[in-house]
Amino acid sequence: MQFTDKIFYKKLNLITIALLAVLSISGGVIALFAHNWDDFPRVVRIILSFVPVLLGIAVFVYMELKKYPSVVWREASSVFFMFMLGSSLAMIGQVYNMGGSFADLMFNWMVLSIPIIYVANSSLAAITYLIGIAVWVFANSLGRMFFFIPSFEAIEQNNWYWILLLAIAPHLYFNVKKQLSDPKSLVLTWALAISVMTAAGFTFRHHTIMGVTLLAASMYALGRLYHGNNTQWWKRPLSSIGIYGMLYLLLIISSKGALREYVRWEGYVSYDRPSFMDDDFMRGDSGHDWIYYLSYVVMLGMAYWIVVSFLREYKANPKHVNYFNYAVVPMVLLAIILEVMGTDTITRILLNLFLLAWGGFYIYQSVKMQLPWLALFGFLVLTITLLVRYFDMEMSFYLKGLIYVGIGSAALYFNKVYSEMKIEGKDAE
Amino acid sequence: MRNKRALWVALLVLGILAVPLTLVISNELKLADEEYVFKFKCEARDPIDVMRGRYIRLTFNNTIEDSTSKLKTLPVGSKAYVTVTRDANGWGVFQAISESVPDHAAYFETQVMYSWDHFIRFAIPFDKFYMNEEDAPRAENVYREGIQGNTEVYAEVTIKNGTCLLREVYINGETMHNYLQSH
Repeated sequence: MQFTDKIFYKKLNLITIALLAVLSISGGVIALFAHNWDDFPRVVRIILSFVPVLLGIAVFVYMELKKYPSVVWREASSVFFMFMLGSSLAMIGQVYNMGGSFADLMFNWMVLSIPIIYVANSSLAAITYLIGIAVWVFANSLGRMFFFIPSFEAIEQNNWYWILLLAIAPHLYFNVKKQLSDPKSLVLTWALAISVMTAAGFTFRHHTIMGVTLLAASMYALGRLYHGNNTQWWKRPLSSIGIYGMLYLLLIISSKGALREYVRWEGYVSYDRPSFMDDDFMRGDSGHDWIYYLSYVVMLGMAYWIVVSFLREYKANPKHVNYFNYAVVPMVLLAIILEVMGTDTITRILLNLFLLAWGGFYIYQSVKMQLPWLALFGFLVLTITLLVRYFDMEMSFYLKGLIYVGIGSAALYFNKVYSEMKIEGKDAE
Repeated sequence: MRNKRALWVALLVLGILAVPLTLVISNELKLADEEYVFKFKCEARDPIDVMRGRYIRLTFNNTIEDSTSKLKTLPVGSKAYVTVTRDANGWGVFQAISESVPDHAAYFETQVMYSWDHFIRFAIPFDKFYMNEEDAPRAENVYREGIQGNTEVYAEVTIKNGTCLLREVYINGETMHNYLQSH
């Protein structure tokens, strides 16, 4: 079924509305029970705590018996079952004052939800799971972070994310492999890319920034391979999320003081002196050597993949290679090395110039290829960079004002040109 | 084909239901066991859990002196075991912390939070007491207002063979629920 198909759109609408209804009802049930009806005797509360999961089972079994061929029913009842299971687990935790954080509850809930995904072969349940495990990683890191980088202890636990992800790899394999441009595959790939990119930063134990940059660039390269030069950004989730990931990282590390603190935190410098030659530099201090060696293998693997992808694209057509996207990894590596050498100001200037050139490059490409949405991304890069810099850049208001007015005027001028462009013989209004 | 599918669905339903049932039965067994009930003095605060609702967070004196300094090198987050006993007045006391399973039943499993000199601070796995969303903030206020007076808060906990269960929280000898109803 394709995007142009009317039946597809009808089904998509039905699934979306059913999902919204399920989310709303599930949220309502969870909130009703979270109120805590502690006036009731314990036995009543225990019975009440089983109500959500029994309700979820009832709807799920009804779907199996009467509505199985309906995709809408299958998807919606599976997600409902998942949420009701979570509600019951929460209720039992509440009745018995069971310890453990919200993250612990999320972890148990997600593990128990895995069979639902497979028995129902539900991709919406798989998407809920992908979001759920990313939320777990974030919740598990809360209160134990420094500049968005969790403590070593939290990161060690967070590595369970990859095992949880592996648990639904067969579902992803069978549902995405069939047809990469199929709507279901695309939605699943979007959820996968967002989940991985969100969680990755909380799972790299050492060389976090380099690891996440390599992951984002690898994702971009993988997207180029599978979704090619698709001109619609939402039809190439991997490369889109890869680019957003790289942009986010560059914005973070180009902020005042961030990279300085980061190189200290990682132990690249001790007492502001490079510590590359120290004995424990390669290994860190956790005593779990294999994690470090594994992370080096994974990072080298990703670097190799990026180089191979770049060469493949270059050989196919050098004009179609987006050199800026491939340049992010060496740029970040250079920035870290420069920061270790103690040249904070030069590093920040370099990173900001790179960001501005990146945005400018997209605008240039937009004009060259007549693809206005590329300019949208270009202006987004420029605006976000300048917006973030407004707060941490020591520049006179006079100069800042001129730069902002200049960028804004350029965007308006582009809009004027864009609105006058002819699209398929009609005026673009 | 249809029968095979029905079997999978039945297995899924039974497997899922087994988890909450096991939780209920194991906790009921802990509640029925009166021998290993300990009372610990504590303080109370009122945060929110998005799924389980409001609760009061109990804070205890969770620091133990490790005179041998053997555990000082334990990384933060390491698994450890804390043994408990009762003092002369019947209050529960965290007695000792060890890396290995103690040889008597009154202990619970925990994690090392941090250590300094001869001291080790550990996590308390029974620090959440879930309450009605209107009662939880009141409970904190009652505790805060009474802190300068003689308000005494303590938790009653079952601790046995590594597991623990918070049974009740008392304020001036009354259960928290009854105290809030009558004040």
